[in-house]
Amino acid sequence: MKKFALAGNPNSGKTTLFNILTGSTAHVGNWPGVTVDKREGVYKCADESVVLVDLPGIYSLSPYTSEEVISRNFILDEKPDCVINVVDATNIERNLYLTTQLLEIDVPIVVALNMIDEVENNGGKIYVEKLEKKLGLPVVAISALKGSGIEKLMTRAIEASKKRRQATTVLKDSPLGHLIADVSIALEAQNVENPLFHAVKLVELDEIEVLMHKSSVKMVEEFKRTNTDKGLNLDFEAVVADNRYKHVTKHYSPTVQKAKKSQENEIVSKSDKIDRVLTHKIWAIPMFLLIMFAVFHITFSENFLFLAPLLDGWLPFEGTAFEGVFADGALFSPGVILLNLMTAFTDWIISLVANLLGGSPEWVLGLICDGVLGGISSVLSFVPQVLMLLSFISIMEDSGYMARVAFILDRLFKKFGLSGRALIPMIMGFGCSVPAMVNTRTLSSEQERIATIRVIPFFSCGAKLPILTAVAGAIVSKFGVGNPDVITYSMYLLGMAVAIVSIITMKATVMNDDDAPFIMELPAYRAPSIKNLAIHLWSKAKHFLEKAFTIIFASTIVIWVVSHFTFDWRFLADEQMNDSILAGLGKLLMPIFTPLGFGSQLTEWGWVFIVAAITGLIAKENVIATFGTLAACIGTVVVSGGEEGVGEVVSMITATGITIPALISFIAFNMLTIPCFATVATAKAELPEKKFKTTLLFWFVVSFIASSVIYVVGSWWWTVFIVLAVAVALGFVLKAINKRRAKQQ
Amino acid sequence: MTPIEILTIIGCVAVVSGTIALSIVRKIKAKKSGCAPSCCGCKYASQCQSANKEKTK
Repeated sequence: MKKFALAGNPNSGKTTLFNILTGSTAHVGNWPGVTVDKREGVYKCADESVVLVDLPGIYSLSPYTSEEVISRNFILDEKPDCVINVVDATNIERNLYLTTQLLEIDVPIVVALNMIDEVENNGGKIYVEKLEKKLGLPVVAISALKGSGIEKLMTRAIEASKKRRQATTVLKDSPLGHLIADVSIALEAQNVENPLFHAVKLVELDEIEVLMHKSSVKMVEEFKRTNTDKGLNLDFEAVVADNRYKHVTKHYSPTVQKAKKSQENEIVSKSDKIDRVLTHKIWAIPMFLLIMFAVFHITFSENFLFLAPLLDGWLPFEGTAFEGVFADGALFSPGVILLNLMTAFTDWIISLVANLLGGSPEWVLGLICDGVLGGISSVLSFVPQVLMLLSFISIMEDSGYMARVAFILDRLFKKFGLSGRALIPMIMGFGCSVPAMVNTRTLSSEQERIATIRVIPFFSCGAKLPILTAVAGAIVSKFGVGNPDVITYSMYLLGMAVAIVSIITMKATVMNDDDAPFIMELPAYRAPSIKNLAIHLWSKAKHFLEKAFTIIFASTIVIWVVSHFTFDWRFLADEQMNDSILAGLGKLLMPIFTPLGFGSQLTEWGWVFIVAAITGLIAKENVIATFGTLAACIGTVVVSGGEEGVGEVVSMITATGITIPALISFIAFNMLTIPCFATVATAKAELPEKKFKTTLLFWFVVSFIASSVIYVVGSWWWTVFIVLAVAVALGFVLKAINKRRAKQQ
Repeated sequence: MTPIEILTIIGCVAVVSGTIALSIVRKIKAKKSGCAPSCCGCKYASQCQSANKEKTK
């Protein structure tokens, strides 16, 4: 089967084209650097099938970032039958810089002029035939988003793949033209494949080429020596880049007819108008925090739009199955309504199964209904709410706002030794830490990459969300204080604050790299594609469902079994669970968690919090699944009176006597501690072995310290305040004494 | 033991051992194809040329 590669600048629409050609559902986004790895798919047409490889976006074939190395190695070593060079037609001059480099490789190339519809809508025009002649390559105008020109593109690519193409260079007439030709001949004599490409790179003194072709480097050095006094710029990399841009401007720019001035101004001003507000020097960060709060309010609030004072006592659908689903004294937010509907549905399923199993032995009912279904349903209840939050984040990515967030936070991040670019994998961490860690490959500094990987789990992923929502809801339900949306939002901010403090600490101790520069193209604002959003949400929902019916299913069975058997394998009734294997193991660890507030100070049921946190190491959803499995059993001993959805945690609170600071500490511990197995495995793959081990220790120590501080300050804040005040006062007194002594001397 | 009890025990053993077996098989497959553990279960494992894979080579 033939193999074609998709290569082009970041955000030029390669993945959108890849998805449309292969029917894949790879994640696309309106910001540069979404794809950091190659991915393959098959394009089928009537005549033949072609393997398509979607390469990461690159600006050049230099070896500066891992994406550039991946793309360069693939084109040179894997020898694709054709390279489809995806060019953003709205930024054609800059995109053709890469094309001038691809021309130097002996590979058939077809240029896909993407987003041609945007150029035409803006009143511009590209003379495709003229450009084709100038480049000496087939050029096809397409719109990957609308699917136009795709068949023509593939037909021409298949045609091109049948012919051999001889490499050419646009540097022939440059001051380095002769040198490039000489080095190319020398390399050809050594049977080097793609001699022209390697020759240009050698002249640039590209670090990979210098190592590969040491003997030919002498030719370049000799040329430099003989031209030292002839006024030639001896930074050959700069000379090559300059000549490429000059060639693009001279030969290709005339094929582009720009939008008429008035129209262009209008387009610029539309984007500028939005940017004037969203990237304002002062208001940008408060605006970002406000947008994020609105997102959390819509997803988690039980007092939507703060209408409670106007709706006092309002309980729609009273006496029906929908009582308390939409409002209860206050209007619920859409996210909470979805949670309630899902909870009602899972409860209905459980009661249906319980009716079907009526008359079965008690342990069978307990295992299936309380253990397995209780555990799985407690996770599934939160799926709609998680998807809602992820859809907001996805909309922010697709619209181009997330790239602005990286830009506006760059100044703040720079103070802590990171670039705004590092923010993108961190924000991806809100969805899932695994792709976020892989995305750190776009960072050029190794130390910045390690620091970013270490703090990614502090940005709570979708799987941790049920823990936050359930515990925050239970705090409000049981103690009647705060709002679930404010508590959840604050915990997200806490995660970000811990990330910043961790980076500052790393910068002051182990990081000694210079600050990484931040260069990122800001994409135009675009309306998010509903199809992309649906694909993204479906893949997340599928991931949750797969986990629920494999690892969480198995975990709930194991948890139920070890909580209903003793070490000598004797079956226990629900109320005897304190003598179980699980309780024994949990109690053993209780002293360790005492400084965090959920250890020895709790009642005999306190071990459930420790057990839940430990099962969370397999998958974070397990924390709530464990509560779901054990809550029904504890409910036979302690009457909780908790409401639906958060009832399991309310049962735990009633049974253990845990306090609010300890509950907050519990959330913080689960948010910040060692993440799930999948994330740990990714960190192992992405980090050097030594750094991986210290990273595991780092996660545990940070979570332990942060949770202890929360518990101690929350429980004895008045004492802490006095101690701190006394310490500060003592510090001042000592300073004054030292000053006086120094004066006297 | 009633049939429902036997069925429940068999079902639970099957789910737990099935999940463990699936996880082991995925890891062995991933290791054989040279992928990183984070790529376990990826449908492109046999064709993948990722940096992860190159790292494990």
